[in-house]
Amino acid sequence: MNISTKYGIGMGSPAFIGLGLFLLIPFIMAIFMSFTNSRLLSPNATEFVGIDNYAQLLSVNYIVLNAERNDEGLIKLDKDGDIKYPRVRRHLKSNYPELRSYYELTSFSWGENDKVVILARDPIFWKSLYNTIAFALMVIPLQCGLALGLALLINRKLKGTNFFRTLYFAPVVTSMVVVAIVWTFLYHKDFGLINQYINTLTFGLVDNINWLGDERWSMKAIVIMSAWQGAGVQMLIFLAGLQGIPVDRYEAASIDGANEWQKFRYITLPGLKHTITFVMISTTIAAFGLFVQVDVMTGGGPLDSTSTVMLHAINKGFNEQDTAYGSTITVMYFIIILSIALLQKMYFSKKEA
Amino acid sequence: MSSAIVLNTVDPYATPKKVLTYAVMLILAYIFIFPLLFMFSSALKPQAQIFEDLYSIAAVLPTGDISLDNYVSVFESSRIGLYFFNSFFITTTTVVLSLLVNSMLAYSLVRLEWKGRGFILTFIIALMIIPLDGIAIPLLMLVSHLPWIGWDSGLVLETTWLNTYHVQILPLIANPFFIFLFVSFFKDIPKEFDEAAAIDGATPFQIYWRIILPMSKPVIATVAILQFLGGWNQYLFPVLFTQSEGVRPVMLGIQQFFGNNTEWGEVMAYASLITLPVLLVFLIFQRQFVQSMAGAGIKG
Amino acid sequence: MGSVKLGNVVKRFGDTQTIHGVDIEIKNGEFVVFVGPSGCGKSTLLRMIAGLESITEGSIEINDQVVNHLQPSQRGIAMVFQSYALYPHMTVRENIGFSMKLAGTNKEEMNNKIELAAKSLKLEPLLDRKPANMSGGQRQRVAIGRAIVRNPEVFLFDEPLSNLDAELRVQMRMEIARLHKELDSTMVYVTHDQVEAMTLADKIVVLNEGRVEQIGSPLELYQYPMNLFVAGFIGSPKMNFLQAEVIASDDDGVAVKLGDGSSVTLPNRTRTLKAGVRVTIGVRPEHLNAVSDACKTFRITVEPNLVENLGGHSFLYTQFANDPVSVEMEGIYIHDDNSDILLEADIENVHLFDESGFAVR
Repeated sequence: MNISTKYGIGMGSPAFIGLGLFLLIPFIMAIFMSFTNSRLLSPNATEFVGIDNYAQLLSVNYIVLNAERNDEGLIKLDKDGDIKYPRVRRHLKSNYPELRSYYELTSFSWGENDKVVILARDPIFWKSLYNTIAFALMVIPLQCGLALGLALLINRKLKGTNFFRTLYFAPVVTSMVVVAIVWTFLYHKDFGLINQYINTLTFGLVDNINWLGDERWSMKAIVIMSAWQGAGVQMLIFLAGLQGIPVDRYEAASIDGANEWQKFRYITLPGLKHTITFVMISTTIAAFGLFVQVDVMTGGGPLDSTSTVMLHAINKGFNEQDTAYGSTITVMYFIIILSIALLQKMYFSKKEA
Repeated sequence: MSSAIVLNTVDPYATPKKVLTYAVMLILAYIFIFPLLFMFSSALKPQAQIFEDLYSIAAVLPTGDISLDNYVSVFESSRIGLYFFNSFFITTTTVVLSLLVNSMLAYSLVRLEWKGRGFILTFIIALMIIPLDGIAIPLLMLVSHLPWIGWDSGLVLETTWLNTYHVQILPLIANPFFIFLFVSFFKDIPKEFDEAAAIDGATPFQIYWRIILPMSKPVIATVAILQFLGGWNQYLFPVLFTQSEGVRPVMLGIQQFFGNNTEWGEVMAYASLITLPVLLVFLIFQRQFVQSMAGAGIKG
Repeated sequence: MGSVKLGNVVKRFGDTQTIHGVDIEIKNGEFVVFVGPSGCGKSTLLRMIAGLESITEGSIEINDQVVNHLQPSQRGIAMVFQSYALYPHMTVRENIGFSMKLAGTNKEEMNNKIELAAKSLKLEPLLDRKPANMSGGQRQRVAIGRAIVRNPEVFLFDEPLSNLDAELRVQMRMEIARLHKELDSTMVYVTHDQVEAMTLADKIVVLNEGRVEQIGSPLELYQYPMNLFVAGFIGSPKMNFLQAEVIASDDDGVAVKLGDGSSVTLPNRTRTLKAGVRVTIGVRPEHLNAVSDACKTFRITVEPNLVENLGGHSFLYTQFANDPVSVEMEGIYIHDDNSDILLEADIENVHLFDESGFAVR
């Protein structure tokens, strides 16, 4: 069957080259590069630096700061009445020279007058990781719940159902760039429709929210918009899953006297187990890759409140041309989503058994 | 096959339930559509009109002083025409090449017998895990230094792929997920067709081209639609790989426009223009779209 | 021209061997049927001739040329598949003309050949239709048409009538027989239906578990089966087998004791058998008759179980000692009580098989 081999390899070769060159090799490169000091455009040769990049990325530490005291030994207070503490960077430079490369990540009070400061060499990474996880935790229930609700409604097969399905799916087709731009206007503090609708619905009780400018709300804004854009896809997947549940189960339940809620709980939900698993895992993986929206709308701000792991990686690797470090973040990202996917898989298959 | 509800004539709450359902669906429909309505309506209004309409339902309706001025402005102040051409060229080329390349490999894996094909198939499925975002940076390094034979009044050897059309096309063509879709579909085609064609004198490629592909319309439509959607809406790769305007696609175009422009109406006009092609394709091929998305989910 | 020779053909999948050294010679113009139960290897052999399955050992020659390593299209064969395998996206015309299109035949010649084939198979009104809009019988004929235009040395048929209903099957059988006469080509036909085999074949190859049991003309296999398997496979309803034991064997014949103690002597055997050897007596149902006054040499008394009257003929199901015996008789048969029945047959129609199942003649 040599002719089979000839054609087999021949016809498969474009794809082999494509997969190898653009998928496999970059993947391996990322791993290699993370152990070097490569830069995007640099005249110097790339050198092997071991785990320096990982150290830079992941190192954390902490110090305890004592309250600043004046000459009499009394605690100094600042103009707001809060205890004054020495500035972290100066403190490190003078008292802990080995922690020179660390920056403040976050802090909390400790004991009566002291403060514990968590340090990291790359605080933005940790903030990004936190934001990404927060995003995932918020968007998954919102988007999947919304999608499930839509699917249940559509599945009732009332007249005009197809029309509604088209409308619910329309955001998916729209590019995330366009969505982000349009929602930037919608999120405008004073002129945005979102605040306007909130005003109307709460009869003016709620003040205008500075969605994209207030670090308490920025990530939530991204969550809402992302759920809005993505729900359509999961809706279709849930629909397919719902249609796979045999009708006679519901009919039998009706005869047994079950009400709507019971039917949902005992027939629909179990019947959707596989679908739910798949949707959860795929949405999680997608959520962790959050990039486009934050790049277009907020650039990671304000105050890094919407920075994500991928954004940080692109920033470092591309904008700052530190491709080695960017690769390092990428490798971490890959490890993270692989672990999560595996954990989720284990969790869900355990539930089945 | 319905699911969550069995509407029967004995149910005294049937009609109120129906009304409630419709009401909810309508509210949700508005939620999902109002941003797009806002976009299309604002594209037709001057800034003043937009602001005037903001506090009523007119915000999402084309009312008042409407015209195509914003569109004219967009065409005058940006190179959107060029970007449109770029996006079309890149997307359609990607779709065509993607269909060919991925289906050929799938055919080779499913229909031809050669050593190691089982291993390769498993390997490709494993490749699906690699997130495109993740390899963006090293890919950037790679394509910065790849050679290419170009044309500049004579054959020319270029030393980088940056700022070209091919850098936005070629890396996106080979796709493990599409290969998987083709493989699943091809597996269901009876082998007798291949055998009859072989007896008729067809080479494996001819069998692929004249027999298998014509019988694969559903999966071809699915992959074409998904690839079109992905290609048109591409953002990350063009951002990283291109700077020059000559090959810029619309998604980068609007990003730049948005950054330099405060006229809401004009930005909306731009946005509406670049959304129209995908929206039209979606509306026309609705059924296929819906089926392919659901199918893609089930196969996962 | 058109001869096929299989020489010691062996087929192995990994550790499993499915075809064990098969030798078959097919003369030019013969209609040969490979018949046997499911899994006997008949389809595998056919596909090996076609080039769709590899040959592990042995050789296959077509027209005295070894074809083991030739592609299917180079062997001068054409095949009609069980499921017809008509290209669904092509019209009948395109289906039939596909091989010619691949060979680059010019349009005029192509159309001529297609018209000819269509005429012969009464497909003219269907030429521009697609397979989905046609009945099973019509699709069958298109598949045959596709094979005809290739002008093959050998036609291969892989259970072509299995997917048709009974009436259509009879019709198509006649079609194929007519085709053979008209084209005078070599045809190799695979079926599990021995009626098709008996009616169509010049020569039948009976296969069982990857081995050739017997090769011969239909009548040969009917009248002189070489072993129990062939005897039981050919002929419907199945031949009756009675257990017996040799009493004595000499030049005049073999005397055996039947299950009920009675004895019968079978004449003219070329072999002698030892006394006490367990043998099998075979008689076809159609050779038995229920009589009141028995005058033929082979007689047995049986207990009746069931009578089936089909009008033109009737079936009688009975029990003889430990063996069931079925009888096929002309006309209507009435037997109201449960009394034993006397059956008789001509001694020439009684077969003898030794302890290994081989016929003793």
